[in-house]
Formats: sequence, C-alpha cells, structure tokens
Amino acid sequence: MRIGVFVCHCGSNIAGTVDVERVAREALKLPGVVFSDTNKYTCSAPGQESVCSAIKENALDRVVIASCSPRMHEATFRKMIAEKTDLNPYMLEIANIREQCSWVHKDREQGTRKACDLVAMAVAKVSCDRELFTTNLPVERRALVIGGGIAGIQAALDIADAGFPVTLVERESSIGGKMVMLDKTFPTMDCSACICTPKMSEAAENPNIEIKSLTEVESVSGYIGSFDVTLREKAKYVDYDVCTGCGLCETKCPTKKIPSEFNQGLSTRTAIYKPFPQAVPSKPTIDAEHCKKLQSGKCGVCEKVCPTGAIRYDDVDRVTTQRYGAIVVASGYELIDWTGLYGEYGAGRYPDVITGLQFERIVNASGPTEGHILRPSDRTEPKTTVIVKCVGSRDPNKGVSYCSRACCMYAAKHAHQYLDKVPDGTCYVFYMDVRCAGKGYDEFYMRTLQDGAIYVRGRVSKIYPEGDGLVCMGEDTLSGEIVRVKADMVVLETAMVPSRGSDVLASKLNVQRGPEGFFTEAHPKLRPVETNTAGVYLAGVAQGPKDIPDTVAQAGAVASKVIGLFARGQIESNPMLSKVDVSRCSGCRACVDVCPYGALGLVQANLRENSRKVTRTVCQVNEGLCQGCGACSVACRSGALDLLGFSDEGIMQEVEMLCQ
Amino acid sequence: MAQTQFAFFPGCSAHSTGRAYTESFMYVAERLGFEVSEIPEWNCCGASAGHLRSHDLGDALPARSLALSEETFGDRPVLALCAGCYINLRRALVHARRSPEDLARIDGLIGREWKASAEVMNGLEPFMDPEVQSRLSSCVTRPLKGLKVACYYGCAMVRPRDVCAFDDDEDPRSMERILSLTGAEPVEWSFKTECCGASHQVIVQRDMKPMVGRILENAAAAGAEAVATACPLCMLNLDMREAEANRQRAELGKPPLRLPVYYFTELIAASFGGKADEIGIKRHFTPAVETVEAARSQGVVA
Repeated sequence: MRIGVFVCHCGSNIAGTVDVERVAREALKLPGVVFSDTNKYTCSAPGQESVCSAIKENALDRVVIASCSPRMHEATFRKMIAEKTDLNPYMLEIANIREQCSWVHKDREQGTRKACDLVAMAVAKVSCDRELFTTNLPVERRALVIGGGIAGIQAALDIADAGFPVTLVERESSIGGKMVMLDKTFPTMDCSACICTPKMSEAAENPNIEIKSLTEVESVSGYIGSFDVTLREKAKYVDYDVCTGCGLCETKCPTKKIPSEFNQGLSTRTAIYKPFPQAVPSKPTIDAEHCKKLQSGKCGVCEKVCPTGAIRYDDVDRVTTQRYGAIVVASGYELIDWTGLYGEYGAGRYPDVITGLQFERIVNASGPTEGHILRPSDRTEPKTTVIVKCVGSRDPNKGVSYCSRACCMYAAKHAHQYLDKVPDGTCYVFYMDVRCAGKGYDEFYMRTLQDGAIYVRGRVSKIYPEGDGLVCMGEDTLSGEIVRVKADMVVLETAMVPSRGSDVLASKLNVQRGPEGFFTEAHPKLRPVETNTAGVYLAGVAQGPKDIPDTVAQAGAVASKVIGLFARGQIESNPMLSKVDVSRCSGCRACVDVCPYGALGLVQANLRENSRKVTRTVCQVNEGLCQGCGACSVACRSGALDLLGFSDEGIMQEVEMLCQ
Repeated sequence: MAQTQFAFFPGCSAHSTGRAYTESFMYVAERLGFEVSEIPEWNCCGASAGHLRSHDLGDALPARSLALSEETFGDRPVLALCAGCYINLRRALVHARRSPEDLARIDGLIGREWKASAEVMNGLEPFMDPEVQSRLSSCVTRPLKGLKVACYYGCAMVRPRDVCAFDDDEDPRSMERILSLTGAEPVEWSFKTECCGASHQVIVQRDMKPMVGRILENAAAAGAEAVATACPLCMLNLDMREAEANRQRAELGKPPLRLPVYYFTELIAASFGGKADEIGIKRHFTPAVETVEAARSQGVVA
C-alpha cells in the first residue's frame, strides 16, 4: 500500500490556525503513508499538477487530501485523478480540516492536533477503499411537466423549443393556472391574461407539446433518464377529436347554477362548460357531479344540440403509461382556507369579506362584474375598502409562519386599482411590514401611497357587520391607537399554501417536502431547481412562494437543466451505492422501510447455503434509484448491507485510528 | 362513559356574587346525575394580582387547591365555574405538565406531591359530552321555544388557546350547541369573545364604560332577546352595567336595551321547569324572570 497525503494551506484559511507542515510531517508516520506534501492552494491548476505528478513519481495507489469540505472539492479532485492519472478516482479520501477544523478553532495547537487526527482517520479509511467504476445509463429524451400554470407552461415551451417532446399534465380542464385568473400584473400593470393566454395557445400549437388536461399522475417508477409514469386522464364525456368547441352545448345546458371555480364563486356556470373563454384545450367537459344526465339519466340536451355529435356519456377514465427521462414538478399553490382559521373575520359569513383572488375577478373586465368594482352582497360600489395583508402568512398560531412574498405587491396593486376605478373611494391597507424587494417594486408601492392609499401598521383583530357595512377593528401600532374603520368591502390577502395533493405527489415521486409542505430543492443556493431525487426538478410556487417573474425565471432554469440532460443523452451512474450480501440478509425488510428513494425491494432468490439449494426472501438494490445515502446500511440488523465507498469497515478503521 | 363526578372549586364568586350560577348549575347537575363535591380547604386562585406579582405565586396558589383535590378525589376533573378561576387553574396545570422539572418546582413551592393528573374544566365542558347532551334533551320539559339568545364567552375563557383549547378561540360554539338543546335559538353575532372590561371596572372606569354597551348593542343588533354567559365576572359586569349603558343611550336619544343576561345554566334549569326562585333568575339587576317565563309559556309541551 502506497498512500500519499496532501495538506492544503488554503491561503491562510487553514494555515492561519493549523500548522500544515507539521500535519504533513506527522502523516508520514502513519501506516502505509509513503509520501506527504503541502500546497498553497491544492485546488488551483498548479496545485492539482503537483498532486498528479507526485502520484506518478511515487507510484501512489491511494490519496488523502486534507483541505476543505468534500462537498466543496471532492468532485474536483476525483475528476483530476480520473483524467490526469492512472489511479481509480475512488481511491481518494478528503480530510476536512477547514470547515470542521481551522474555521471553528482559535487555538493553533488544538487545531493542529485535530487536523492530525482527521488526517489519520482519512488514512485509515483510504486503506479500506476499493476501486469503483461508473456505468452509463441511457436517457429517454422526453419530459413530463406536472402542472399547467405559468411555471409548467414556460418549462414545457422551453424544453419543446429545444426539440424534445414534452407531456404537460394539468388536473383542471384548462391550463393557465392562477396567472390567467389575475387581472393585472405588478409593477408594470400588464394585463395578465393578455400575456398568459398567448403562452397557453403557443403550448397548444407546439408540435412537441402534448397537453393532457383533467389528468393526474397515478404512479411513478424508475429513475433519472428512465421514469415509467402512469397517468390517469379523467373522463371528459366529450370526444375532443370531434368537438369543434362551438359552445352551443353550454348555452343550452339546463343546469346553470353551479358556482364558477374560475370566478371564485362570484358567478355561475353550467354543467357542461369551459372554465373561461380562452381555455386551452378550447373544448368543454361535463362536470359529472352536477350533470342531470349522468346523475339521473334524464336530460341529454347537450347531446341533442351538439352539431358534430361529440358528446359521450359513456366516456371512462383513460390510464396510460409512458417513459420519461425527466420530470418537472410545477404543481403550484392555492390560497389558505381562511374561513376555518379566522373566526373573528366572520369565518366566511360576511359576503363582502373577500379574498385577493376574488378581487382579481371583480376588477377584471371579463369577470362577474365586467370590471366594475361592485361588492358581492348588493352589487353596489364600495366607497371605503379595507385591504388586510398577511392573512394566514407570518402567523404560526393561525396559519403559516412564512411570508408569502407576493402579497405586499399585489395588495399595493389592489389599492391602486381600486382607487383608479373608484376615484371618490377611500382605501385602507392594514400591514405588518411592507416588503417590496424587486425591480420597480418599491417605486410601485410609493406610487400607491401617492394615489392616496392609507397604510395602517397593525393587524385587524376583528371584522363585524354594522348597518350595511363592516367594521374593521385593529391597532395602529405606530400611534398606539385602537382604530375602527367602517368599510363597505374588505379584501383579505391570504397566504399561499402548497396545492392540495402535494403530499401524495411527493411520495409518488420520492421527493422531500419542507415543514411548510413545499417541495425541497437539492441545495437552497447552488441547486435551487433540482431535487434530491435525480431527474426530478422544481419550478414555480411548488418549491416555495414567489411571484410571476421569479416563477418564469425558475421555469427557464429547469428547462436548461432538462435540456442539458437530454443533450448528453446518457448519464454516468454514481458507483457509491448500497450493496447487499445476500448470504447475510434475512429479508426482514427493515431497509425497505427506511429507504427514502424506494430503491430497495424484496425478491425470492435461489441461493446455495451449506452446499444445499435454498430459496429465500432477500433484499435487492435498484441501482438506478439508490442515491447512496446509507440509511439502509445503518438499519440493517445483520450487516448485510454496505455502502460502497463508505463501508462499515472503513468507518470502523477510522474510529479505531482515532482511539489509538 | 360520560364524566359525572367532579371536584368543585368555588373560588371567591361561587358563594357570593356568582350565587345564581352555583344554584342553577347544581339544579341542573342534580337532574343530570352529576356528583359535585367541594374541594376541602381550597384557597384563592390568584386571579387579578397573584400571577402578576410573581410567577411562582401564580403557579403555587392554584396548584395547592389542585393538589388538595387530587389528595381527596384523585383524578376527578376539577370544575371551576368562574372563567378567572378556570384560566388560573389551567395555567398552573399546563405549566406543571410542561416537564418533570416544572412539576418538581411547583411541588416544591406548595410542599406537596401533586401529580397534575386531573383535568380542570370550565362550566361548559361537562355539557359537551354527547351522552350528557342526550340526557339533557330528555330533561327539557318546558323548552324556551324560539328564545333568541346571544352566547357570550368573554375574553378569558377561550384564550390563550394553548392553555384553554376546549373550543375555537375566535369562534367558539359549544354554548350555542348546549343551549340549542333547550329550544332556545342562538344568534350569530360578532362580540362573543370581546372583553367586557370587568377587570378594569375599578381602575380605569372611563375606558371600560363603553365596552359593556358595545357588547350588548351588538347582541341586540343581531336580534338577540337575551345574553347567556358562563362566567360570574362577565355576568356581574354585563348585568349590573346594562342600566348605565342605557343611561348613556338615553343621552343620545336611543331607547333602552332591555336585554336580560343569564348564566347558561339558568336557561337550562328554566327549560327543565325550575321555579324562578330556585334557579337564580330572581337575583339579577336587569329583570330576567319575565323573558324566561314568556319563552317557557310558548314552549309548553302538553
């Protein structure tokens, strides 16, 4: 065994607290070490060069580099060894003497001794290392995008424009998500629908994009480059190949009193319907729950009036399975159900207490009031409007602890729109803080103040009816006064929460979620659109609250990741995976239950034991799914599972070395 | 099995200002088969000043009474009819249950081996059990048919929620459910958890004056003919100061409110057929007998 130890100064980062020369001298005394050296910056080009030539000149077969965290440069040094020497790149160990040593110690003697210990442990571990080899896995160049809001549409368009086929799955009957429901977008006051609907029709017309509406993900198996996904397309009761989208059925449907989801319950729709005129696909579906024909067999008007004979009352769900190389999660958000949380705001009993999204529909020219600001109860113009921010947000006692990020800006937008349309109106905004970090955002807020919006710093404690209006009670925390504002309408800017079913989707995809329920990115700064499951990416609010510009930017970032993967066409597998010694496995399934990636399963194996043939249940590792986390090797009671490159033996040797 | 045995913590009000609450509660309890026994040697719960003077005192005063209850009655829930007593006893219980160290600290203060095992309940809680509710329904012989009542919880009974947690802190509904069994019709109103200002009545009278009027006016605006409470302090304050609220209204040229205030147990007792002088309703400042009698005479069953 010929081990070489390379100790890095990292400028003064390490050398300032650790006597690196002494660490190198001490290393030479360790068993198997035949060479040691120090370097000003080992990761730099001359540093790497000197390590490589030392490996060749001294015929080293194992290498320890004592430097920064392996998360920083382990990959750099592996690549260096693989490309510039004949050594197997997995015969390398990193001793982290920076983050876990020099940076946290002040005393030079203690720091140096600890660095010596860390190097000794790495030497013990590298002695147990074995050569590992990567394999190349093929990539299916087809992407699945889950969620047809602006994040999903943008990601799908960008991937499709690079020439790769995309399936865009949306569980509602039209794509467009929340953005298409909005009236204007801050801070430029572009018409939201005018910039969103062209994207929707672009997606519909792109030959590389297949839109599947009313469709949900049933199950997912496989791994990066090769996910097998089963989709359930719900019965639409309309044959889209025949339907021309003329809309005659909608005008004749006798069931007309169903609250419109698109207009947030402020108008009604029919049982056969398109949620809004610019819907994509631009064809109606039947809402089976409310359809007289499907519920009681009596009616059939739409079938009679349909000029093309497209109605299919006997339609059923269609289940299909397709292979995808990458999956984009763009499942978006919904607004927190404030009615169950804020009893003192009337818990939904007062019709003129509305949500921000309802206000968007009211102020929209194609909304239920054709853009006239009229309150729901009596359709009169509210002369005083109160906007309440942070309803549910930043309120761990009632709602969620996080800030929903977009509300400060759309509250300012709502105030601006209200004052614009009701020039003699008064608008109060109750706020905790005003957070307007974004290009042109603070200027927009300032303009809203100039418009005459009255910002009151404090939360509304109670809303109660008085006469034909509502009284908002709260504290102005800047003056310390209790304020009571008589309002005609109250707009609650409610918190964004993960869309319903995110938990189920997360377990199907084996993707983690944070405590607040949003999907977790692989690294908050350096890998913001990837997940810990390779091949699954995040775009939009599914990852955390954000506004439209950030959502679109993130969707573009996701697309570039997916396009990069597809362009390579194959992926190099990570060889540091779990390995099972079937002779020691009892098939207890402890490992199966702890595996966060679903990479372990039980199989019947034919084995030879004591020179007899036996068939036993043993565990099996799916190397495509295994991420090498090591949870199974900890859980395994009989020591049958081991993590290659991180073996139990290596760890025990490290511990023994430390105890010497 | 519904809980029917209770240890009773009277506090300073049960035998004095809150006598009507105790009388009506016991009237109902007897008919529902509750066994209610007073804790021997109980002491002040420490409301108003105790817990502000010292946190230790705030824990020790209630803990001593709870320990005495535990020694005599074991795990029987402790019933505290007054919202002030309820919150103070519960707070000590929550503190003791935070950790073994906290329990040991409090036990050290009172010099007893209290285990903090028994629950503390307010006056409403025994009636929240479905079994008790069905028994209650079967005892109603003179329903208060159509009596529009605003259920008032006050501020102390439902807050803070990590101490109380027996009902929603912003929109509690347990009293509504209980009183609807008597034939009364609870109204939807907005001031059910608003503070009545009871603890300010001595020190900042000027600020608390409008508080009573505001609550009663909101109840009347919601169509209530009566207000029901479950706290002797709320009762005292609303009932006694209604006259003053009416004087203020008269100055503004508004008619008087004429809104009797009841303990919820008085209304239950009335629906059981209790006579006016045995269920407390003759003890009020604002005349309260007539409204009950009118409702009962409408609701006579056979």
